Amino acid sequence: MNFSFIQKIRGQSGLILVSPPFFYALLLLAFPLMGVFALSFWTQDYLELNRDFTLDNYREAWTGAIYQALMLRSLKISILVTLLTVVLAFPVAYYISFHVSPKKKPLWIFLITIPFWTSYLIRIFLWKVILGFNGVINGSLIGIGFIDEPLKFLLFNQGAIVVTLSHAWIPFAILPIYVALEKIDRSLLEASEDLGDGPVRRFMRVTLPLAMPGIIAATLIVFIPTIGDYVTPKLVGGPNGLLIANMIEVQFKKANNAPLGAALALSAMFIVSAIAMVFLWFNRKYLRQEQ
Amino acid sequence: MNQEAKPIIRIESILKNYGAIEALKSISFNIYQGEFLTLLGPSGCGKTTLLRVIAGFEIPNSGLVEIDGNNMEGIPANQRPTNMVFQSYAVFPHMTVGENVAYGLKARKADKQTISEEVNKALAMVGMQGFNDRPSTALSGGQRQRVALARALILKPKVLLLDEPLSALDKRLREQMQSELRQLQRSVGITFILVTHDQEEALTMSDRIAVMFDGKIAQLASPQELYRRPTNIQVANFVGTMNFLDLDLVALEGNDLIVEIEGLGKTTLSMDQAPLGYQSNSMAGIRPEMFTIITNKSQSKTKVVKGRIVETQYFGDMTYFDAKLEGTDKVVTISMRNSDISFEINIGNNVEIGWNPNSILVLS
Repeated sequence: MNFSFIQKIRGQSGLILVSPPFFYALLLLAFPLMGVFALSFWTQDYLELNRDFTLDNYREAWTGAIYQALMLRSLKISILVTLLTVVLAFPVAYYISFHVSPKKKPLWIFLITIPFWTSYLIRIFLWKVILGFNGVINGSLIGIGFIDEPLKFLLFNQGAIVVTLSHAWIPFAILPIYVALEKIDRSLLEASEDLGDGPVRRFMRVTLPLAMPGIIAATLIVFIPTIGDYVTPKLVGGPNGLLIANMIEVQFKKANNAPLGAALALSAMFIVSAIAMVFLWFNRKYLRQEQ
Repeated sequence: MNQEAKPIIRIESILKNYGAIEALKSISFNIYQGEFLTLLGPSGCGKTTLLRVIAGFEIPNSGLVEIDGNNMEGIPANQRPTNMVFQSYAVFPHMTVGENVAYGLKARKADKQTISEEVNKALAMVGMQGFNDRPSTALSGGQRQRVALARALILKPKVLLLDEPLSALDKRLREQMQSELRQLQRSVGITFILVTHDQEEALTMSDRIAVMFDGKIAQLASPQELYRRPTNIQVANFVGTMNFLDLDLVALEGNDLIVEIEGLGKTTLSMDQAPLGYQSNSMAGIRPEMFTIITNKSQSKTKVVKGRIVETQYFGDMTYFDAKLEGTDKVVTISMRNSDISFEINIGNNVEIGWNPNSILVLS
């Protein structure tokens, strides 16, 4: 039997398997992206599009004070959300992996997905109810006589965005970290202890490095989409909580300047990709161990 | 081995339960300095649990573990003078070979110079010099085994614990590692405790073997003693092959047992041949090599029975024959060196089988 022939067929069957999602992605992702790319080099001439090549949109996107400020704010909030989410997700994942009995693990994973049963919008509105002027927190604090009038700093600011987005993303962060922790051979932890490490040093030298692929995945999963979120900042961010994505939306709709919106969108995408690459490069040694 | 020596490990009345399951049932014995001791038994007999109790990974429900004169109660695994080679080797995948071997010295906060010297020495000891910068994921099973050994021995433990370290290797490599381990143990002079379910491995490597069944030590003896004089049927069955024949006591005269053995007839045995005395359920045990198929009239064994060959198994140097004893349905296994066989013996042949009453054991 010709072995390379079999391999060839196997390779082809792989191609056949990936082709429907590939064409789907091409149609709905790559083509629109190419459209946005082209758009970013044109100019809006009142109702018409001027298709002469220009870099003006990028010049404005990268030098305009408002765009710079929004971009920096978006990055700051994304990084805060990512940090908070991963830091909160790790103990949960650790607890499920190391302290929940194997029989109950599926139940715990199931419980973690429960927030997805309600829509994203409803969850954001719930945070408005919790943090609002007459909300749960203020109501309770007034009720027990701790404060006399409602706290105004809870809602409509950047802190509210961080809290709301972290809550929304936490299950996505727990799962990859949990999977990475589950994959750690428990005898490695015993070996570390046997060789003289106490619980803290064992965690730092064995558990954490081996969980890094999961932590890296969680970080990227949270960081990349967060920077493009525009619903949450609109609903809970207040006047100082608008982010770059809100500006992109404004350019495409109210300002009727789609080319500038496209340039802003691509610039944001470029910055996020660059940060993700640098992050991966710094963690490359943890990703290599997988092989 | 010097039994007068001070025990390096003293184990007294160790009891360990998992819920209703009794894993260890009051185990007591001593292990001496420089000894190679093997815990041998089928899976689930408690041998690994006992090893883990010594290492500090399992806390016994009661009893005492003393290492080098110190009571180990309440002392966690990372503070015990023992190191372990795990069944899966547990080589850290995110570290190089050198980092793996240095792990314990770093935990002890040794200085860089010492660490690098000791790592090189330890790697040389297991025949892996120059592998320092290899990623540990690029190693074969045998190499991982060596790294795990070097990583444990670099700490100069008082006792090295080995949990089925050879079970994942193929036969050839396993045999090579057996002799290497034995040589290593002699040269470093550290006490080794090995857990295995492989009786051949236990016989070839150990100074003493503790055979465990069902959470208890059935017999603790040297390999020779264990093979020649197992004290009960379970041990005799587990270590080597043994033929068991029904036994009836005819008379007891002083130190002599006059017995009727199934297929072999009436014979006189000495009381010494019954390590734990005669009981109503006792059986006669005889090793396959203690039977001889008489191929040459000048060969003389004291007793001869007739039999018919029903099965043969050829092993190159040896042949195993199954023979049905005349006048019974009893089939016994006979092993012969092929160099001692002067004519062909085939299935269906009627043969004369020689045996000696001295080689019979009375076991229950």
